[in-house]
Amino acid sequence: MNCPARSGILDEPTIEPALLNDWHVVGTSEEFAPGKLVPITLLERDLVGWRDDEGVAHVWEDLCIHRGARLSKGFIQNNRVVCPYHGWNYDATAQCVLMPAAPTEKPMAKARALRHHTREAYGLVWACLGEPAHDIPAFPEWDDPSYKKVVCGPYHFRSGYRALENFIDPTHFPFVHAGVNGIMDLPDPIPPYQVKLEDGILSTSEIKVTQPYGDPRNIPVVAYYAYKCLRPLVAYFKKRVVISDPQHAHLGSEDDRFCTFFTAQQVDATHSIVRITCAMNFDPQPTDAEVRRRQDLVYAQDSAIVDTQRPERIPVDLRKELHHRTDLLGQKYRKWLHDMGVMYGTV
Amino acid sequence: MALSETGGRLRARLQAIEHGCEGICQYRLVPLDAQEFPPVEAGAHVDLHLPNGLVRQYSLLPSSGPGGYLIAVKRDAAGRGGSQWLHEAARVGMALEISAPRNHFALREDNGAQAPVLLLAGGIGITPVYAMLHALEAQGRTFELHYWGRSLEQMLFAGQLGADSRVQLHVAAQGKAPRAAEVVAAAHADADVYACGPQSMLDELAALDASRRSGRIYMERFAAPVPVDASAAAGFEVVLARSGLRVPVGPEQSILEVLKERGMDVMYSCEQGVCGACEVTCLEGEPLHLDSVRTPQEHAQEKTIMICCSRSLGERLVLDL
Repeated sequence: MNCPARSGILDEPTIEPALLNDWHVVGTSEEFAPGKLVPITLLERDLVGWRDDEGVAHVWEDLCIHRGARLSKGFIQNNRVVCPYHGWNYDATAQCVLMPAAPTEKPMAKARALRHHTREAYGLVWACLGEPAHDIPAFPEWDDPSYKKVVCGPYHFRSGYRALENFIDPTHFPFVHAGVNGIMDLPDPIPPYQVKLEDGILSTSEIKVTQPYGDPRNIPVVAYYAYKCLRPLVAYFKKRVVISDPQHAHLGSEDDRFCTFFTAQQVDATHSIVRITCAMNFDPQPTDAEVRRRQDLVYAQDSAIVDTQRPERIPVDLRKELHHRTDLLGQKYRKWLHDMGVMYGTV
Repeated sequence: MALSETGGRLRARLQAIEHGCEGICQYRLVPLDAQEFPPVEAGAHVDLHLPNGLVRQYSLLPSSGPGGYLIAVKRDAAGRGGSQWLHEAARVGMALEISAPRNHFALREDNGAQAPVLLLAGGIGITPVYAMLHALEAQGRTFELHYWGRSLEQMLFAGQLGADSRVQLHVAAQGKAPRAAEVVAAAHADADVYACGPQSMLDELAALDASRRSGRIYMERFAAPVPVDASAAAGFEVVLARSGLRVPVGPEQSILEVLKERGMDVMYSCEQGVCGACEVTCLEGEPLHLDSVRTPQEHAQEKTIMICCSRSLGERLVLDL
């Protein structure tokens, strides 16, 4: 029998506490469809996800304690995960409740699947491989009924940190998203902005940019981005949008906001999956498909460039790349990672 | 060597002293034993090393260039002796040492070369601002100048400026004048503001809520205290609070260089004050901020210093290192 002790069971990479005890997104709620086993890789660990009859999402090691077969190759029957090899049945508490080769015997107490902490929030499924040191970061608009929410992705990137740093960088808009989030011939100069570290969160003052196709309403706007870095692989912006054409300004409202909650799942040190939840409160509300069409375009434009960045592992030592004050948030992000002791996927 | 230098200084001849306005004289300095002075851009100043050991900073007026530099000095009876010497003891023909020009108050283009510009000057603070006005005019940019003074007779260039529709003279003797902060509040929020004037005026501007403006406020504090001893003017001591280590920083060294030489693991990247990687909390002392990462308002709030380029106004800085 495989040793059930949690540590040392697999050839695991060394993952520092900042990531091991953090919540990571491993799927959208939609990806966790009832009756379906979802193979997942998080930080090089093979996991299996599934949703029970009560609607509760579970994330386990993708491993049968009996002979080490992949549970994700099995199936779900009677609200139980069935191993593809000898048909051992695991219930929603991860306890083996049936060994078909000895159907009348009560399975041993140790016959359990290896569970990880699992939660659902903001249309996303989160798992923690260690013991959660924090709650899942806050996304206030999720609970605000005046906001329409749309979950987008998955988008594949190499470095999740490079993807996140790109997400918090408005100076690439005129080039990577020319004609959408910026104008290549007329890039916005970025005046100095403030970055604060408070309660373990990095946040900026508003950064103003011109966007010819600034939101899914497909109208030119002046956008004011306020960013937050919530966790090493979770970031957020709240964008204030002002319709730039004075003739149509009346169609907008001073309260118009477009928010994006960004997450990156590290598959391994140089592969990651980005999933985001957008929240918007303006009229007219775009359809889910309209929101996704735009996000799919923008993130495809991003990954085409971000995946060319070298080294793939982001340098958290600020001496290793050149920075400018317009990169202040990205630069503070790297220092923040460095100070947290994040080494996995960094150099 | 094209220039005659003494410890990085240029030798100059005081070629002319002219009356500027009541209480203000203009001094023309020409190269003493070299062909030319270094070129000048608007907002720059030079250090004047006076024979009595005083070192004073003066902004360069518009006609300054390789052929000669022009400064304006206001007599300040309550001052620390520099203006008094220039007004009483200086004689045409004297040799003086000056530094090469430095510019901490340059016109910026990072907010867009076409950003509207608001110039604010109080009293003798007109000197760098007047040079900026000329530069803006040469570039064909739009600007507005507000200039405060006690009376027209005491305002340098009041004659030339009074006829310009882009200029508003606020003369205290003529009754109520707006505060500088009111002028900024009424101006376009996109406008870049350049201000030079008395401490009270700049403090008032520094207190404005920067978040309400997309344009920035840049200030030159011409009354910054400068140590009397010329040798101490450039050197200072840095105390590292966590270890108690005291490190001298020489006139030609940066704080960063000194710490690197000592093998300290400090973060930095650009080494020229444009990135913010080397930002360190300053626990005590008065930094002389020379970076472009934060505005003066932010520096006042954040109490940090970019150690790659910034220096100390006093003899000592205590850093959170």
